[in-house]
Amino acid sequence: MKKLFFLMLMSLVLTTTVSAQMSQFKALFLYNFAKNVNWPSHSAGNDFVITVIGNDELASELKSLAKLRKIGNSSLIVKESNNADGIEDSHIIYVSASQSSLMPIVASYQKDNPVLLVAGKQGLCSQGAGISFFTSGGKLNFEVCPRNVESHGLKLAQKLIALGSLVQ
Amino acid sequence: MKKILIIFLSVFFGLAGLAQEPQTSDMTREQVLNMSVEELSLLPLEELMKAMEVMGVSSMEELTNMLINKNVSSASKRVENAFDSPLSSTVLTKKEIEMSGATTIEEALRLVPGIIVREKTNGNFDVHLRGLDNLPDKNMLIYSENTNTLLMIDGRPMFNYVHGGIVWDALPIGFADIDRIEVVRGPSSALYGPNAVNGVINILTAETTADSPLVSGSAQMGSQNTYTGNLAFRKEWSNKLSTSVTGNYQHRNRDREEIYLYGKENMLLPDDLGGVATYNHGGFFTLDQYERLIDGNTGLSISDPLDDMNELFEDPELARENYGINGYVNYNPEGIASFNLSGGYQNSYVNTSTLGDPPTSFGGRKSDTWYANLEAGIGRLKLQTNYTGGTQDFATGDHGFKIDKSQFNASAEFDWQIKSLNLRPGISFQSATYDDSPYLEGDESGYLNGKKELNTLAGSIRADYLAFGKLRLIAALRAEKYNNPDKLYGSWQFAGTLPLGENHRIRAVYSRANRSSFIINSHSNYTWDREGRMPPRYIHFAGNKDYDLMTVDMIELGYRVKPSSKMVLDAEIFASDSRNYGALLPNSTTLNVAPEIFQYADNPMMMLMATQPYVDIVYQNMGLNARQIGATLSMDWVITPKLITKMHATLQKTTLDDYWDYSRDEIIEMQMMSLAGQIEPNAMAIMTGQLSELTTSAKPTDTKDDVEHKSTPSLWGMVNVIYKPIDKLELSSYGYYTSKQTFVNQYDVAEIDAKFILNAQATYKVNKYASVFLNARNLLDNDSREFAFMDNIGAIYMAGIRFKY
Repeated sequence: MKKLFFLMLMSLVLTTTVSAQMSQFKALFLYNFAKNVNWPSHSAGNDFVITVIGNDELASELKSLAKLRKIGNSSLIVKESNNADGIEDSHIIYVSASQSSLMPIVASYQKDNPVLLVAGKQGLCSQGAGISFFTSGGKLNFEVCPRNVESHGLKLAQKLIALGSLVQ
Repeated sequence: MKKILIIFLSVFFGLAGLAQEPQTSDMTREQVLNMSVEELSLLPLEELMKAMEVMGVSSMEELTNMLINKNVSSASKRVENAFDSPLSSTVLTKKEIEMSGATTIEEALRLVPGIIVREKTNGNFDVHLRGLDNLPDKNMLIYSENTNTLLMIDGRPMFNYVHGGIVWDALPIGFADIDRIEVVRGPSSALYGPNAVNGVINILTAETTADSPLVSGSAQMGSQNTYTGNLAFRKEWSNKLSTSVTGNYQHRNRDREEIYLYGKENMLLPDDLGGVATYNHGGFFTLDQYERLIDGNTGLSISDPLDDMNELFEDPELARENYGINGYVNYNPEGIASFNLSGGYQNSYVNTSTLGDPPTSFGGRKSDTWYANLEAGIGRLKLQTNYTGGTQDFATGDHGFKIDKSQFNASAEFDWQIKSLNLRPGISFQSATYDDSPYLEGDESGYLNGKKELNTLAGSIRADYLAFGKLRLIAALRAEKYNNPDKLYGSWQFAGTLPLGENHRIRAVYSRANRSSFIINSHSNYTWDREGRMPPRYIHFAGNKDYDLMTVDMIELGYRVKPSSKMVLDAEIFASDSRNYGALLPNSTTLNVAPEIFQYADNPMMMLMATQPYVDIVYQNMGLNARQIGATLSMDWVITPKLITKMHATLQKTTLDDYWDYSRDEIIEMQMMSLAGQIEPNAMAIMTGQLSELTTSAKPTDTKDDVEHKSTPSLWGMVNVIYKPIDKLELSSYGYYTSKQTFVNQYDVAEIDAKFILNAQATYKVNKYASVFLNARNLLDNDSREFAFMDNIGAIYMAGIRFKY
């Protein structure tokens, strides 16, 4: 019984560490996505805003990154939200896996805005996401749907499309 | 010169720098882990991806994504987080099926909460969702088929509209085709149309992508001559076009050649030495014994003298043999359209519970069918049309049960998202045509005697609204117009979900669903000439084009919680009320009373036979009402990347009101005896020719309330443990339990003992291309029957291989 308890405790500690690493890499991926999108000059203000919907360690990883890096000349600002509506002036909206059911609603609210919608879970391109993270065979990868991205007036760099898994 | 020197020095130092700093792909995991965020943020995306690859996604991350953070699409007809699903729903992935060692799709459903899976003969199963099975009881075995669950493959109904139910052996697909199985529990007609009374099982086939292996499959063989094989070829030709071809095969023997005969008092079996053995109860007999058995009370044979045993049971030892091939083309041109085209063929022969009405509970069934299915997405408009054709013989050797089938479906739905409101209007049409006339010889009577059609035109709308940013409210309505019965039916679903923080969801559902009409209910036209058997001489089965369809109302409360990122618990409590049950029941009995019958005045049985009793059976509604309450609890827990456990349990009670405790044969006997008693008082009128017929439609009217229905187990569930001691070895075991049941049909009562089945599989990964495995079904050889009047199901041991390239 003691062994089982210890095993479970260890698994909890290990999972937390592993999860943090995954969030860190997702944050770095998002940072790279931001650099590989042709943003219209009129989009948002001077800051580059990423909004994270749902409780996700990704937000704190992004905040760490924001202290180190800029997107072009813009400071990186990270916002957090629990709702699909009321999100304004964001360049990227990341919908965490736990809130993935909100993706079609977010997409509807943002349909006229120059915003890149990124999902923390596979299969969300069909619900309006431009990029959707997934893990397979030990790799972190992403689905990319240029059609959804372009519908927001954005254009992805060819390199980004080539590196992702294309979804029509 | 200076320029050349600068270039030279730049290249030299550049190369030197490269030599000192290894490429990301050459780095070790340790080196990647030691890189700071600042250093990682300097990497371009392609290098970052390589670094991630070197570090590797933890198996825990993948497992939690696969088991805890699943997507489901059948509960709302669009992809959503299963944790947020407004309905009771479960997703079973191909990986989970493989890990379980299940050898058929039906068996794999034991992993799904709320599903009762009982094996009848090797590889042939009864599958029920939540219950309401064998209603009304005291009837033919066909009434034990599951007519309350709609099975679909990629949204294409796989339903037997002749009798109602699912012909599992006629599925064209195997494990090679499947990506996942989604199950929605509770009435879902508002989303999927009729017959989703207790829920929906939607088998979703795999998409072919750039990551799909070119060749993949599995093969295994084992005891009881059990062989199964699955094979798939998949190729993505471009971003726009992918194709795949799959095949599947199964061969399974029973553990005996004998078939079960219902119990009857004083059955006599003469032997070659002039002796006679007497049997007073049901049991297993060889075909030879079946043919020679005599009813000691009448001297008539137990079997139908017109039957040919070799036609009834071509190979009584064979339980199941089937194969199928399927092809898929996925085309995504640039723009907003996408097309999925699939087609396939299947051929099957099984020995399992009969759909006919012979003295045995066994029967053969053959299917030879093909299909084509087209799904098109044009922006937010989704179109689907499909056709299934072919031949099915529902009772081999029993003439009149072979039919040509032709089933056509077409539907259109529009997915309209307006801020927090999602609207999904839709229309659909279904036509199911069956024709037995090509297989009737001379004046032979089939049970349809011609081409018969059921069709349904439906319109639906579903609204899904997120209020206050949290409260999800859903209303779905569907109206269906049937040709038979010529009525309009409405079904609906109202649901609400409320998140309590990130890790809790509470939800409530109220829904109504109904069955469709079935061909035998609306169009039966079968005259059973029973010459050489006990009276009546003729029974005519007639359909009814104007009856009420079985309907259920259900209320459900649910609660989901994620106590940690690695565990999800799901609890649901449901209460349902169902009515408008029906059956082919005696309407009237007629005796032909000519003066000649009095020559048998000394022998009442002979006199009755001389009247050539004629029974008119018509499909009709009963007052029966079934109330079910129950609860299901399920848990998925990734304890460590090496240890996973899943479990579920369902507790239920079904109570019947207005229960009519009479079988068809009891009513016929009552009516015949009542008429026989009128012969003597009317002797003068009969002798003078003033009276030539005696008819009655009298039936007992007494019913019972608060009768506990015991065909459905009161408790069933599963515990699954998967352990990976090393990367190459996976040990998986699951136990499945069903509590005792009492099954009543028109001939007998069967007590089914509680049963625990332990299954286990050990898989060794040889390399990235192949795994070998040992697989034991019912490891402890708990050799008892799982379904009334069917085979005892013992252990099967197998060995096999899975491969992909």
